[in-house]
Amino acid sequence: MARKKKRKNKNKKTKKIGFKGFFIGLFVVLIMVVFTPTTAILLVGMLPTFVAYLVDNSLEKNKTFTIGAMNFAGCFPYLLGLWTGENTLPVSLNYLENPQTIIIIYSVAAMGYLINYIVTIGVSSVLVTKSKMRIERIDKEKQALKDRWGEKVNGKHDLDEYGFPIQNIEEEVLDAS
Amino acid sequence: MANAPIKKDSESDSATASDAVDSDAPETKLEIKPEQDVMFDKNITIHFDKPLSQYDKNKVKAFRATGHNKLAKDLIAYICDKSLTPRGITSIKYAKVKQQSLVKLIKSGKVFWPHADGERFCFVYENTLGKPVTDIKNSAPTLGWKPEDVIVNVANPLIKVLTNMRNMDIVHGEIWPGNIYYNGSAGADKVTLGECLSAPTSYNMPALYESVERALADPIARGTGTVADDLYSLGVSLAVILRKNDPMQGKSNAEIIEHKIEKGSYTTLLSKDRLSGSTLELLRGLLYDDPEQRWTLEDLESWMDGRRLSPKQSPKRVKASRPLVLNDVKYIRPELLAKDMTDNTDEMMRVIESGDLNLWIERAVEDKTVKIRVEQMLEEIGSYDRTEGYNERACAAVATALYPEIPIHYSALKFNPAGFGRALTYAYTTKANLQDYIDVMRSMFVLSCIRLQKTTSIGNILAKFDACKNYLNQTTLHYGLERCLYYMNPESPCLSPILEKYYVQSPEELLIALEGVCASGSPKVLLDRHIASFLSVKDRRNIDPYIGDLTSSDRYKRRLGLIRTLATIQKRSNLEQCPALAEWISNNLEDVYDRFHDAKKKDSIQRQIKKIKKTGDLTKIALYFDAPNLFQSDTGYFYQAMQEYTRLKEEKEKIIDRLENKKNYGQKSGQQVASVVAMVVAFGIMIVSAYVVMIKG
Repeated sequence: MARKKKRKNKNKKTKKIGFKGFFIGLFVVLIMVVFTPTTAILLVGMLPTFVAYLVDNSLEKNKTFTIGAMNFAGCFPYLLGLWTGENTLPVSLNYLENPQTIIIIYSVAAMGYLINYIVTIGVSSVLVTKSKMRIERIDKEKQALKDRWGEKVNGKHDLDEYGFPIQNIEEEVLDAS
Repeated sequence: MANAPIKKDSESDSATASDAVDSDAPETKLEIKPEQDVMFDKNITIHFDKPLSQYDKNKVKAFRATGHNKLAKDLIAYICDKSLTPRGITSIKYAKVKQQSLVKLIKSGKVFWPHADGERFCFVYENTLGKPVTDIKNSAPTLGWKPEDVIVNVANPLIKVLTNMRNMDIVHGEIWPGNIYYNGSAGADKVTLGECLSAPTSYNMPALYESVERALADPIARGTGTVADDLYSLGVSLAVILRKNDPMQGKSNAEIIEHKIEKGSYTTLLSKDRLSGSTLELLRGLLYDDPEQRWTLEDLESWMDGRRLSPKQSPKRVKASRPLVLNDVKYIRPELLAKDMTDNTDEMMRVIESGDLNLWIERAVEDKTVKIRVEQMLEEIGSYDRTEGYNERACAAVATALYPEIPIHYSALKFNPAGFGRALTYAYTTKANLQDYIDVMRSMFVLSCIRLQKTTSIGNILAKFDACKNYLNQTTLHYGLERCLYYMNPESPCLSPILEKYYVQSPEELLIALEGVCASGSPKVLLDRHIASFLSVKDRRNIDPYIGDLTSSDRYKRRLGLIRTLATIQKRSNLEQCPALAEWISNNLEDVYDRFHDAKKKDSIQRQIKKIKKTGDLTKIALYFDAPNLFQSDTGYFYQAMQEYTRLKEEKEKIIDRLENKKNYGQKSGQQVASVVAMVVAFGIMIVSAYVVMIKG
């Protein structure tokens, strides 16, 4: 029974990876074959993304996506230069030899890290505040329920078939005191 | 008294002979002095400061009254005592007896009586009485009127009265000189027979005027009697009016009765007077001790027509050839033994159990009928439980076997079965010891006795006692001794302490009385065992469907049961408004409101009830709470609220758990947002780059 479950999970995982991997693989192969110069820039330029992917332990890989998006944005002007100008390998290598290119690309990638950091902290704070406010609202709603339906709505009392405490709540309070 | 609820049909339910009051006649303005006058119906004023003590009858007091509009001016009002159940139902038939020699009933019903600070039943008659033939304190007069005057002015008119009453199926029950009235001049004019409705039959009549059997009973327990009893009373009345000597002067009632048994009533009353002719015939005929032999009204009509009736031989009472000794007294008459044996029950049981009684009956009395009766009864009493009071029960049964006409004598009670109900009511209202009554109703011996008696409607009486035996064994709200009270005495008013100031004889009157009770105060309780039993006996449809609720251990159910009962009475009685009752109900619904979980719903219902109570319609209030799903829906929503509460509680716990336990709370969401932001920024950068390239290019 446990083995079957493991196999199922494995299959699921395999299916997930297979589909994504295939897509990415196909994309990569195409780029490499069709756009060698572009591939060269991307291979070097998107290194921060590869690193982020390896470092990102989350399932959703949102951080990787953040950095990847900015990383690609950093590579884009140079790719655009290639695509609108001479789209040859030497030109792309020329770009890569220029330290400014790497600095710009990697700086923009770094902005991705920054965005991830700042936005995550910001969102987290907002969520914490929201949760605390939700707790307050929950408390109010509970009190409103008690006011409308009585103390017994809290479900802590033994109730008869009509919903009335089998032992009087006041008696309980007296007993407790 | 508070404003009574309005009836849809404005009929009066009390007897009246004054239907001749012209409704078109202009109403004269009545001057009422509240400190001395009481209004009874709109046409009669009773002057409670003007007693007519010459017409008093023990507990029943007479007062001057004045009629208005077309009624006779000079009236007498008899105010009944609550312990003595008056003959209200009989008054309806009495009012139809049109006979000059019978005092005319004008109106009957209940009236607020200041002396009693409460309602009492009242009979109002035309004051045509005059003076009583004898003072009520002189129960055995010797008046010596002339026979011809007595025949013309006493016998003839009273015979006509009795004939008319017989035709209306009424027994008078109080024919004696203290209740026969004249103008003060002996025999000068026709007499008037007084009223008989203000107390139980024969209650106010001295024992002398009763046949032996009825005289042996307690006055309150004599029962209704028959026309034959009235004729006997007439006979005795004529005898005392005619006679010049009293053979029984100075004798006690018991001695007179014994003499009647030994020598007969005629000899007892008239042995020292010589009468002749038709007068003698009349008295002999009326004073037969055996009611079968006694003259009937047909015989009297024949006598009045001048026809001579052949004298009947009065069958002689059984006499034993040798005496039976009981407590040093020698008895040769079974009737006298039966009369006395219940006063010496232990000694008598010794005589019974030793077989002496059987021997005496067989060998000395030599009457087969008596023998068989006694043997059968001895066999029956052998099956009685030998619990406390066994001797009394056994002796009462054997006494009846010896002398079936005798009233049943148990312990301190001496009663005819038909009179038991009124006697029970009397004992209850005078706070007498009721244990004997309870013992009688619980026991088998009374049924054995009744079967032997020649009682009219024996089946009905047996059924009543049998039913009471069952009622006493049940403890539910509408059973018990209270039910026996109203079942045995249907004319009894409701004796609940809640209705102390009211005279209630029907469910409708009960509702009106409760309306008054609520209007004048805030009673804690509106329904007790008395009221429940009373309603159940009068009309079980008013209360029996709600007994389960009324006896529930849940207070709210009891309250709803009460509302439904009152609403049912209002609906069935056709009463329109009961504002005070509605107010009381509205103020005493806490237990019902507490059955609602929803405070908003409670407030809404309270507001609704406050609106409905203004209409005084109890049915609407009852229907409101009878709405289907009123309580169920509230319970349903309550459980939903409980689920909601639980859900909120769990949600809070989760949130707290997340806040306290997860270090990276919000990180995942933050990263998701960050990826979106990054996408947007990246997209922006790409647009700008493309734009720059396009411009350069």
